[in-house]
Amino acid sequence: MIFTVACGGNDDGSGSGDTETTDGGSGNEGPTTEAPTTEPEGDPVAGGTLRYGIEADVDGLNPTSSALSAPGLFMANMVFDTLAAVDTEGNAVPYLAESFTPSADFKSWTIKVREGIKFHDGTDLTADALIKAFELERTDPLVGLAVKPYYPETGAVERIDDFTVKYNLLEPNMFFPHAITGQLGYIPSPTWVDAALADPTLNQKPIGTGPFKYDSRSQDSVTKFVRNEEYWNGTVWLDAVEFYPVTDPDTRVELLLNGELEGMQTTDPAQFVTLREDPSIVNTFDDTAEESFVMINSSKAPFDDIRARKALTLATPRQKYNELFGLGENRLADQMFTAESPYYNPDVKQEADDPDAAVALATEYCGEFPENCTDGKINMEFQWSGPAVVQTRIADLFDEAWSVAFNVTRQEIQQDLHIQETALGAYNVVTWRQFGADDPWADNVWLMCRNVGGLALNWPRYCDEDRDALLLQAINTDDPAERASLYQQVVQNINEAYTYIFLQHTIWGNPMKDTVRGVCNRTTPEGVALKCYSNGRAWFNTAWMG
Amino acid sequence: MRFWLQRVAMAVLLLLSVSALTFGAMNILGDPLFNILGPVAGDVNNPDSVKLIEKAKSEFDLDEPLVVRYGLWLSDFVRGDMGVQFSSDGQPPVSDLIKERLPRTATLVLLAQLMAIAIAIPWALATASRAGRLSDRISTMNTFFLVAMPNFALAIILKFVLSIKLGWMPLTYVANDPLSSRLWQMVLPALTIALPVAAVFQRLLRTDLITTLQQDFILMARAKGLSRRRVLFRHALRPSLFSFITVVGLNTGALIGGSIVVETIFRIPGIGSSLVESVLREDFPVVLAIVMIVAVAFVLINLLVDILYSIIDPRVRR
Amino acid sequence: MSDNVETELLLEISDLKTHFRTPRGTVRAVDGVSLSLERGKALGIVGESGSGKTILSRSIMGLLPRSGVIREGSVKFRGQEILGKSTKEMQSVWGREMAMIFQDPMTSLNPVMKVGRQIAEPLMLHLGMNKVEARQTAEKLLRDVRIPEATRRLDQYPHELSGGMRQRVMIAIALACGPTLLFADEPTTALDVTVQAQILELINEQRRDRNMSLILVTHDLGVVAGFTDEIAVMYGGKLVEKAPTKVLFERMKMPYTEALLESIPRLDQPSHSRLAVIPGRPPDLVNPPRGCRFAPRCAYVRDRCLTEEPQLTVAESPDHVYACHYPVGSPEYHERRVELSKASTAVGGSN
Repeated sequence: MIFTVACGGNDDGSGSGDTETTDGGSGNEGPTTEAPTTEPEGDPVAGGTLRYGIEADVDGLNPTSSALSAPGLFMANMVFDTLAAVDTEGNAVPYLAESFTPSADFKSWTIKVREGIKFHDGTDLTADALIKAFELERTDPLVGLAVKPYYPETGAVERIDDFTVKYNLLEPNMFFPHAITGQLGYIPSPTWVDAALADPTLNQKPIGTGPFKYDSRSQDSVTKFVRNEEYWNGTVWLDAVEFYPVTDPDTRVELLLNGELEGMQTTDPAQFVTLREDPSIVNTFDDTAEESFVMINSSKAPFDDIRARKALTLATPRQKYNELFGLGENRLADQMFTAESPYYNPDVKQEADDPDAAVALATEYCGEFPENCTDGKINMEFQWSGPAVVQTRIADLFDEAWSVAFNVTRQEIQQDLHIQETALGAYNVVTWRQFGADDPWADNVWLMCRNVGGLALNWPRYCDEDRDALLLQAINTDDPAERASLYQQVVQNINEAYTYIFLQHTIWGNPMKDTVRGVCNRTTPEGVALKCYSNGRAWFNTAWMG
Repeated sequence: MRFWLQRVAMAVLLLLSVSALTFGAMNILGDPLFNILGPVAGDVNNPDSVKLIEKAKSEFDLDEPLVVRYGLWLSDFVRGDMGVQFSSDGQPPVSDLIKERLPRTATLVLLAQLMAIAIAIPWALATASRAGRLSDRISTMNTFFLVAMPNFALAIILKFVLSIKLGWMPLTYVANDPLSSRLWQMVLPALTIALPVAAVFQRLLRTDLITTLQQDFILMARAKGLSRRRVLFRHALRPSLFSFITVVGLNTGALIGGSIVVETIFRIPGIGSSLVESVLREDFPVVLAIVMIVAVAFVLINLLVDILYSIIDPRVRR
Repeated sequence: MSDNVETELLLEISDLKTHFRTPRGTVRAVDGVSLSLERGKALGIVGESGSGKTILSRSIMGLLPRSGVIREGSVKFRGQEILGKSTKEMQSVWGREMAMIFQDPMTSLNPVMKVGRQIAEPLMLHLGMNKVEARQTAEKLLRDVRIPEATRRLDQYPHELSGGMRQRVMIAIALACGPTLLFADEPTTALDVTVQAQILELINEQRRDRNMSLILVTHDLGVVAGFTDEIAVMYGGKLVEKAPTKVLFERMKMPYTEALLESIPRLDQPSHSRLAVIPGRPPDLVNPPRGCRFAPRCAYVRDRCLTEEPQLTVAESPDHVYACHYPVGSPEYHERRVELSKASTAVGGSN
């Protein structure tokens, strides 16, 4: 399960990342807009420190208690291995696990881990480590939100033997291994997670089985990992990897171009041209991941009425948004999939840019609910996370366009509070960024009825039993055509609910200096080539400096 | 003696007021429970969440009235216990954060102050002795330019010129580099803070120097055959330092203010950037601790200024 | 006064002009003054405030602000032209060869520097003494100027000393390097009347002991009477009368000098009240009167005085010069004097 997902619609790329999602399922082989250039020839050499710029720092690096966002997952990729990994075809293949075997009904999966693997603290990787990680994640008030709804209250994990664990699910899932390619797939040292419960400062000093060991960390400045000499899956070439949180995207690019970083992540299209112009930079761009959109809370007036949601949708200046903030780089999004995806529904178009129709709908709504209107316009609140210049400009743009049919109250709040209020349903309209898991199954947590609650990952708090049925059916078939058709129906269902106004596909860029090589040489011990960039992060198991 | 007792009493009173106001404001503006538990704080229909809420309330005395909580906080604080960081994973103690970050900000501010003084004094001496001439007028324009320029703009210009174009200075601060590198990385940020401050200091000192230079004892010093330099440094400077030193003391506040912006731009994880972050997160134990540290520093520096007065001018010695 | 010393021309000033450029126009503060002074002699420069006497002394020494000042003419010190010398060059002369005692001992000492150091400064600079030597010399100098408890004084600040003591400290500073020419600019004006005589006596005694020349600048003819060999009277930036002290007092030619003499205060009068005796104000040095500059205030003025500027004329004795059309003793002078006494009697009678 990948815990990705993003929040706040941070198209400026700064300070994103806070939430999480689980996922699992089959391959979504959305192509990258610009394929990574082929690695230069040459034999790897040991040594060197790779310095990498990330969007923001994280509160902690404990996969069982920290909600890991793109920067957090990137750093976790150094210290931890996942039970399964996504190969270049988009399938989940065994990694830390030796095998995974489903039951006949696909309601339970038996995972056997490889023997002889040691954590950085010298303890052995066993079934107990898997169980400990799972239980801690399930009971964590935040991380658990994405786990609990999919497993029985008791008996979710069973210890079969020293190296084997059985996971029991609520529903059949043919794509379960995808659930263990992300945050839930990281296996931390049980000794360490126990110690971290007593001493919270240990959350900053992760211990896993991964290619690099934690070395040192100065929050908001630098986190350093050093080579794990006893790595179980091949030679690790780099002496060390250092992560530098640089919240300002311009500074991040400056540092890269000035040779103070070897690589960085960004979603800011304003940087792409500069990055392309430098011949020493190898760019990787991928827009198959998240979409940015306007999100509407359907549980509260006025947007509990579909006419109000539709009015907002029609009043939204989607084209202009794309021009101003996509800068010709980002593609307009009509749905959660890009056109290349097998699940893409070509008939579903995102409505927008029709203010006259919006006014008509608003007038109709106000005739019926005058208490939610003033001067014939619907009263609403628009909330976004700040302070950030780009976010304010987005708010200005929407505010102005929506004001034909709405009285917009603007509310700028700090990102954590923004996410909290969104999770609690204490909002009308927000800008947001999510979806685009390696397998669409992982995006179920945003969409299903069971994820509406006190604290909800189904942020719009929109429940449709038919949609749930489609989503469950899609994980209970391995026929690609049937699956595609099911997701296309989901896409249409989402479109007709008017809870998301899709704006554009986010592009994740992972520019690196051409001296960094071998990033995409990562394989399983069996030699299966693995996907090397995903949602703005990468792995450096096989990277070397030339 | 009585004078000093009065000063200390005033300082204590000042610190109490600052802490009470900050404590009150932070509690009115934010919900501490929200800080500690995140979204769970609002999840009141879920028994698991409610258990967590109750636990947090009793652990941090959140059910006590504001005054009682202030009292508890104060008695802990004076004993060196600054509480815990509400909004961080696992609520680690605030003192961890302060211990890690205060030295960086203190170094930055101290370096900036020293630079500002080191720039302002020779600059003021040079311009005061040439008052009204072209070089003085150009310098006046420069000072207005520096004073009017916002810190972030100056930071970006200096960074662009000195780091990117010329490559003389490091671009950012790296907390785990060796001490000498870190000091070197501090130079540009400190200069950014120091330049506008130096301009203010220079204007002030220049004016006072011009007044001093018209005094009879300056003519007397010249008549002794002392060189221009010696007259300026040995005779004119010291009697001109009064308002300068007062402003150096008072300006410490502005310096700390400047460090907030500069720490962010140069990626120095100091208490300035922590303050901004914790205010936005409404993490009030952190805010309070930092505000109190700044207030104590301010009071101490101004006490030091009083002591300096009596060193500089024998006439005010008691 | 120092008759038995061989004559050596120490200072020779010819046609010295010192003009200041100001927004109002050029101020002709010193306007063509010629003087000379022999080694060991004392010259008094006398005049009201604004007569240019202080500017003249500073102009000779070169101690003037650098900007907006025009100095012309010639100042030869020990036969060497020093008028065009740069400040840097003059620094080896100041304090070493020429020293100055300023008017106000309250403001002329650095308030934040110990007395000892202020005296030691020129000693270390010009005589290359080290700290210890300089301190010992400073202590000796303090004794020379009769400051009691000299050792303790070295470590005191000026504000801990009385006015008279401060003036003695200034004298000590001025004497420190044994200058050949000492300027004393109203050295006693700011002092208590009882202290004035002591200070003057001290300066005079030191001058004799050290074979210095002295230029004593004052508005008080009474002060110079006992302490100078020669007196130069200035008015409106010009030299109007010059004579050996004795000659001047016996046969002064300028009505202005006479007026100054009449204004010598009595001891019971507060200082600075004295010049009220000469009615009117000193001339505007931007646009000086066309004829005699004193004419507008002169009791003996006649038409010629208003149009024709009197040139310096040699009197009966060759070292006595004056610039007046109708000097004291001339028939016109007597004629006017009779009229004046009548008039004052008439005024007195009406009371």
